[in-house]
Amino acid sequence: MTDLLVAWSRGDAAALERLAPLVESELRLLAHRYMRRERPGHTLQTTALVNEAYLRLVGQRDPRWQNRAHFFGIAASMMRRILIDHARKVAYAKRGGGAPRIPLDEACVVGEARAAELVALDDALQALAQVDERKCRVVELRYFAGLSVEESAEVLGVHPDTVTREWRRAKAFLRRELEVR
Amino acid sequence: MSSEARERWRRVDALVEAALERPPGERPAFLDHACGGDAELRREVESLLDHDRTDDFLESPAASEAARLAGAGEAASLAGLRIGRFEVLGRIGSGGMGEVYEAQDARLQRRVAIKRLPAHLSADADRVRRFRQEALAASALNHPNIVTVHEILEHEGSDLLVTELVDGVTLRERMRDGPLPLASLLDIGVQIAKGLAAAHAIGIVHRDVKPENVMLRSDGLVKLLDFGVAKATLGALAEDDSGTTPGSIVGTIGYMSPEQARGLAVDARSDVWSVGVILYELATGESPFLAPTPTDRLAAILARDPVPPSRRRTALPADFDRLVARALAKDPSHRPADGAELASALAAIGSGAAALAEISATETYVSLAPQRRRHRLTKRAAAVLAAIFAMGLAAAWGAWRFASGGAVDSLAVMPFENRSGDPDSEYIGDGLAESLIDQMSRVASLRVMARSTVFHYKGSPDPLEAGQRLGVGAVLTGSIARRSDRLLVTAELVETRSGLRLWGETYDRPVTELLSVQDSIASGVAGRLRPRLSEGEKVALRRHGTADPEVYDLFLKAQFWFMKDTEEDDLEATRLFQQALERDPKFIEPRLALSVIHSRAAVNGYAQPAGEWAGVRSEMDKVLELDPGNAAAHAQVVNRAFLFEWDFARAEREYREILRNPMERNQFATVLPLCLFFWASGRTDEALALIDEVLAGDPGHPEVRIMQADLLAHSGRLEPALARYRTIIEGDPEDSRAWFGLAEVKKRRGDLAGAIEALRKAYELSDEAAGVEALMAARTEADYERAEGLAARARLAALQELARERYVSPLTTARLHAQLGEREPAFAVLEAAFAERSPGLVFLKVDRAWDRIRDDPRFAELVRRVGIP
Repeated sequence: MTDLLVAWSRGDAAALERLAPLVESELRLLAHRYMRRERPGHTLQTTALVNEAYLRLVGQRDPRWQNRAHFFGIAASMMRRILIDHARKVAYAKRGGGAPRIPLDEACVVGEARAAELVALDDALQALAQVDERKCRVVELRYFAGLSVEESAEVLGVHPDTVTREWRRAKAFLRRELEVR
Repeated sequence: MSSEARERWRRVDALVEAALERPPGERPAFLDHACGGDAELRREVESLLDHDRTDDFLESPAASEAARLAGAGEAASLAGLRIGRFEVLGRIGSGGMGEVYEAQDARLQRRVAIKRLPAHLSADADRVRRFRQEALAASALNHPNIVTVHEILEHEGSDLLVTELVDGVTLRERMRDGPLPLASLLDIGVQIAKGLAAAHAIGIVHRDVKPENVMLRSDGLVKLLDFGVAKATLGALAEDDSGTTPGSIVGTIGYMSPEQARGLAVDARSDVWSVGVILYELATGESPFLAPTPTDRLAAILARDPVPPSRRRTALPADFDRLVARALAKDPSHRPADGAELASALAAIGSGAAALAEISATETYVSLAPQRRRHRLTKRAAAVLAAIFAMGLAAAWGAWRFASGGAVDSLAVMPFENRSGDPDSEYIGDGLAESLIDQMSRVASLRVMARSTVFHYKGSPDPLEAGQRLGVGAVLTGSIARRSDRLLVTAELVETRSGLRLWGETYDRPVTELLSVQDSIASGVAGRLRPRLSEGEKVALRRHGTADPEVYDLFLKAQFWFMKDTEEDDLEATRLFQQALERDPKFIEPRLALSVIHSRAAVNGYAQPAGEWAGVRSEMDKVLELDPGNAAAHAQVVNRAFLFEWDFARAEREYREILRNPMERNQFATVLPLCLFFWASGRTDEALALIDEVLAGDPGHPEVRIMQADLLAHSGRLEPALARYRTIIEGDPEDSRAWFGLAEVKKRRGDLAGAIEALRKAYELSDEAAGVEALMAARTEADYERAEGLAARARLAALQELARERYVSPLTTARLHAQLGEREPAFAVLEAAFAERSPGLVFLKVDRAWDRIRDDPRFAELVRRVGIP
């Protein structure tokens, strides 16, 4: 696991391919456990969740904080993908794309209006990623993984002030994109 | 996208950044200058600046929704799918080794179980191949005690194990009901050993024999699961997760053989060890290597010889002790060589035990009353007196109603859930909650539920419901997860009525910073509930016994044993408390705890009272030197005056003096001794009035409720007593004290059938086979009394047996003689009790156990000599 993280951080794309399913299955499993313990309507402690997934998969043996940072990065994209895939399914069904198989326990998480909103946001985010990768990652970390400014700064290896400024401009960009659409 | 576009964007973005740093008024001039004549560039920058607003856009993360979906996806993953010829129905279990589903095999028309292994185990092709070979090979044995593997499928990157569906429960689930009778545990052991024997014969070692991997079918057949899985998983651990670091070995550490723990090669004898651990647990209800942390447990596995099972439950034959000791030999060559040898050794004990049982079913158990229970017997003998000492100090901060408006004025701190996946880290979550209870109780206007009240709800799936039952305004819940030297702590404060989250925080810190996490939770909660704390309260909230995190960790570990409240556990607690004191002699809490351990030993009759009370005194002298106003220490000094010096006048005066301080009225440890004092003096109404006060603040306190019911029954108020016993039993059907009380009350009300039923239950719960036996065919009052007599006789026999090897309180012995109506021995032993000043003598006037010898002139004389008012 640690080796994969290191390989990936050195730019080995194949490492990410092997890494992603591991991270995803762990996240899903933990999220499921967390949910069984939480009451409906409560905020899931997502940072705790990702942390626990990291500890389970990597453990504490590896002191290099960069690995933890990379891990959070992967987890954040993963959470974006899980949410957006679902939103697109819901939105597709709404447009008359036939009845998709949406399990009951997923269906109550995201309503139709919210799904449309998320799909639009994802489109805007893709446009942003075309020109500015880092802002896109800031949005993933802050919005999809729920990290604080400081935590995001740690993941990206930059000063928190940088995250604050990037976040502000990313939001301006996204807001404009959403209005145009 | 072209690199031109990126380049263009970089310019735009840089300009936006620069403009945003200037006040809005200056931006046009800046852009005039910076954009030069590039009108399109300027339009672009300005449109972005227009969209820069401070509102809540994207400010509430979608993370929670994503996580929820992720979890839901997991839940729905296999159920409802058709995989090959299998129609997956529903999930029937899940655990560290994957989830299990029930499925229908469409071709063979039968039900099967499908187990999905965790994805990360399937990543290594070589490991998967080895696992498949073993699983199929073991299954091919077609042995009745091994679950048959039908096939292994692949589905979306993970392995699915299709096996026969076993209709039954895991041994782990069965163990939750407590220790098993000897005959059935031997039967289970033999079947496990036979299954293993078949595998061992073809060179396959299970490697992960544990109660989770043993299924008990409803017809009694035992089935072993998961051959080969262990190889895959343990291999995975060794490679992915430093398998040599004890802290990171997950899960089944408790059943691991020493050679396995060391990472050495294992063979059949490693499985024999694991079965030894299981047999030990089945017989005693406890692990042979019980320890508060994984590291300690590992050390115990490698070095400590477990206490023989019969020391924990005396109804076990010596053969069993010997076999378990052999199976748990550190050196594999001293163990039975394999499953086959183990099976025949177990079967031999089985036939011996059966023969013995045939000769005299009652006698076998009579002389062998379980040891853990014998403390309960003595405790029962000392009546409710023991209750307050059982509670411990952390629990001492109880409740007092303070008039207050609509704001939240009461709080229940639930034990923090242990999410380490490792039961040995439990002490941190419990300790954190206990310490928070203590800390939060210092906020005068906040009513905080006592430890023993909230721990009753430990593990409850719905903390809010517990909050409602306790009638508190808010509930603090949380979790801890320990990973080697880091600690992940979450805490959440929820309003009971609305379910609204009032406050919450997550901490990811080194373990050494537990104290500061505790502080920050306490101040977070206090700040939310009581925005205006007095200066004194603020100081009190920050007050700690020790500043040294390692001492604090020792203290928490000690507390773990202390709370278990048995004689053996108290020894371990004493050792750890003393270690904490060696490093920090000014830490007061360990001294208070040590004094409670001493007074418990005196009251429960574990040792001569004089030595124990001297211990109480020396600890309290030190505490009062450090903190002259320490109320708990004062209370202990007065307890000594009451129970050892028999200075009743001084005891009453000083108990009242302590209770003059309204804050002290919160504390069970100070209120309850006065109740006992009133009771001993025959002033039942005054005792009951005090209890009413205590229960008004904290209705859930089990010890106090038992005492209240006992007092009501004692003073002839049978109806309310009956109702109280019933409520207690509803809350905890396993409380034998309540069943004994209920039986007594029912008998006095003339409900003989009910009384017999309740008494039978009480004997069952306190493991008194003689009593249970005698009640089998009981119908009449004479039968009832005969059973009581037989049970008392059995207790007495067990006690006399015990007296050959250790100290036994003469008061307990005298009490049993009295119950049997044996005057001469009763008075002879009472003299011995008087000579050593047994604490229980203060209850001579009111304890009904003495009724049959009460009319003797020697009895009245004794009451006078003790000086009971």
